[in-house]
Amino acid sequence: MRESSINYLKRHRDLRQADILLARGISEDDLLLPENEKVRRIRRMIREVGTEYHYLKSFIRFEEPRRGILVGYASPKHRIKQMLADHFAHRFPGNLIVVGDERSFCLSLLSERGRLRVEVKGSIKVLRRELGCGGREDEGSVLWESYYFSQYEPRRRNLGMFKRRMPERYRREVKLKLKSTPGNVTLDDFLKNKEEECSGDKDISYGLL
Amino acid sequence: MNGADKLGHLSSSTALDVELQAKVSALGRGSRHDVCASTSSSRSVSGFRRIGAVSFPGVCQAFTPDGRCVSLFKTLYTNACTHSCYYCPNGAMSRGCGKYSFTPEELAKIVLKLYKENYIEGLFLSSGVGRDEERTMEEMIEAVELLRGKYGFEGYVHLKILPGVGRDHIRRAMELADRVSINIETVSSSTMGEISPSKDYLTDILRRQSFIREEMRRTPLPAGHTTQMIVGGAEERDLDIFRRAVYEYRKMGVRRVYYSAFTSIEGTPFEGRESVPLQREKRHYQLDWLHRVYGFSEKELFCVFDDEGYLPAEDPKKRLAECLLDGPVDPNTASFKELLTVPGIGPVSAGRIIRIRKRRRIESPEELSELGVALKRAWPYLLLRGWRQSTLRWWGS
Ligand code: SF4
Repeated sequence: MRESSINYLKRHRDLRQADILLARGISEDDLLLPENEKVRRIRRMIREVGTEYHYLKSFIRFEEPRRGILVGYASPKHRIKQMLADHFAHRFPGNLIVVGDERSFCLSLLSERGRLRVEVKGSIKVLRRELGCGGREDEGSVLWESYYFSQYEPRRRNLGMFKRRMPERYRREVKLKLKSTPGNVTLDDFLKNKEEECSGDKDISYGLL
Repeated sequence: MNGADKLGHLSSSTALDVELQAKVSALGRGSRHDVCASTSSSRSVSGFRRIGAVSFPGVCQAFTPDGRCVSLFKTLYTNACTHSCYYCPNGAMSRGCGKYSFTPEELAKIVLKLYKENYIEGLFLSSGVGRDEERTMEEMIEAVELLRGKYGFEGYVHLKILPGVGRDHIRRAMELADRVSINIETVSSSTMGEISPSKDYLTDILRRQSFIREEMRRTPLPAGHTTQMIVGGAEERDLDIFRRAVYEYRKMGVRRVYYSAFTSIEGTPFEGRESVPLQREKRHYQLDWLHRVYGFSEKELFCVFDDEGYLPAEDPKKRLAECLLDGPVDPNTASFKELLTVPGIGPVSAGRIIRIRKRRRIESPEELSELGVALKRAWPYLLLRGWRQSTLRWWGS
C-alpha cells in the first residue's frame, strides 16, 4: 500500500496496532473491492482521514496577530493537526504556523535555518489571547464576506449542494458564522432570507453592500 | 526582508473602509459569470523567500449558496468599459452600475491578505477595458508584477487577456500567470455582431488567441489557456457551439472551454430577453466532458444532436450509448472504450473495473457500485453473469 495511505491510517482516532500490520500486507487494489470486513475497515479509515485533511486544508482560516505568526483554529476528529501545520509551513516559509483547538495545538516552522515541529497540550484560545488575536484580523474576514457574497448568483441557488459541500461541522473553521453587527448578518440568516426572498432571478444586494 | 515583512495593514482603522468593501463587492459581482475556478498548476516552487505555492487540484476554500466553488479572488480590475456588449452590465450602453477600479498596489495587498488568511488559493483577474485596453492591461500586469516581484507571491494567478490588446502585453501576462484566457463568447463573427457590435471577432479575439498559442512555444503556461462561451447569447445552435469548442481544443490548443448560460441582467440592452435554462449549459458541459476527458471524437458525438442541431433534454451520454452500443456490455469482457460508453461509468470506474478483473471476475451489481459505477444509470446497459435488465426499448427483443 502507498505510504500516504498508511500515513492517513496512522492518524485515525480509532487506530489499532493490528490495522497497520494488516494494511502493510495488502495492496491499493485490495481496497477497491475489500474481501472482508477488516479490509473494508482499513479503507473506511483511510478515506475518513483523507477527507478531513482535504476539507480542513481548505477551510482553516488564519489570523496574523504578529508579523510572521499565523494562528488557525481547527478541531479535527483525527490526529492531523501537525499535518495541517506542516502543510502551511511549507506554503509560508519563515512563518510560524499554529493550528489547533481547545485541547492541543501544533506548531510548525520551515526556514533557512531548519525545521521546527512541536505539539503543545493546552488551549489555542489562551495562546490567541496572549498573542492579541481577534483585533484587526476582522479586516480580512470583512473583506472576505464582501467578496464571498458578491459571488453568489441567485438563479443558480442550490442549497442542497451547498450544505453537502460545506458540512456544518466545518463552519467554525470556515468563519462563515458572521457576527450580528448592524448591516451584517449570520450565514444562517443569509441562507434563510435567500430561501424566502429568491423566488426568481432577481439579484438582491445583501448585508454589507 | 521578505514579502510578509513589507505588508502593511489595508486600512488605518479597525473598521474596514466602507468604500473598499463596496468596491470589492461590485468588482467581484462583475466577474461572477466567468466560470473557471481551477487552481491546478504544474509550476513548482522552491526557496524560502516567498509567500505561497500552487496547490493540488480540487481545492475549494468555500462554496457559495449556489454550490459553486470559491477558490480564487475572482475580480474585475475595473468595471468601466467602452465596449457595448448587450448582455453585460459593464457595457457602455448599460445603466445603473457604479464604476470602480482598483489600483495595482491596493489589489496586490488584498490578494496577499486573503491568501495568508487562507480564504483563497490565488487570483483570477479580469476586467472591463476601461477607457483604453492597453492602459488597463498594463495596470493589471503591474498588479501581478507587484505580487510576484515585490511581495514574492507564488500562489496561483489567472489573468484575463483583454480583447484587442497588444502582443507585448500578452507575452508579459504569460510570463507572470499560471493561466491566461480570452473569452470568445460566441461562435462566429456574425453571432458576435448580434451580441457585441463593438468587438471584432477575428481581430480582437481570435488573433489574440493565436498570439497566445504562438507565444506558448516560448513561454509555456503551467496551467494552459482557456476560453468561455455564452450559451444562447445569440441565435447559435448547440451544434455550432460544440463545433467551435472542438476547433478551440484542436486548433487553438486551449486547455478548457467553459460555458455560461445567457442570463438576462437588468439595466443591459438584453434585459427584456429570457434567460437560457441552466440545463442547456449543463448539457454542453456533459458533451465537452465526453469529448475532452472520455475521448469520443467529434464524429462519434454528432449523433447526440437532434435534426435541428440542438441537444435534447436528456443526458447526451444516454444518446451516445444508444448510437454506439450494439447490445448490453459485460464488464468482465468489455474494452475500456465500451465501458466508457455506458452511462454511469467514467474513466476512473472503467479503470478500476479493468484493474480488478485481472484478479477476479465481477459478480454482482453491488461490486460495480463499490468500484464507483453509478448503478442506477448504468445497470440497464450491463450484462452480468448472463443476466441483463430487459426494459430498454432500444435493445429490441
Ligand atoms: S468587453 Fe464587453 S463583456 Fe467585457 S466588460 Fe466590456 S462590455 Fe462587458
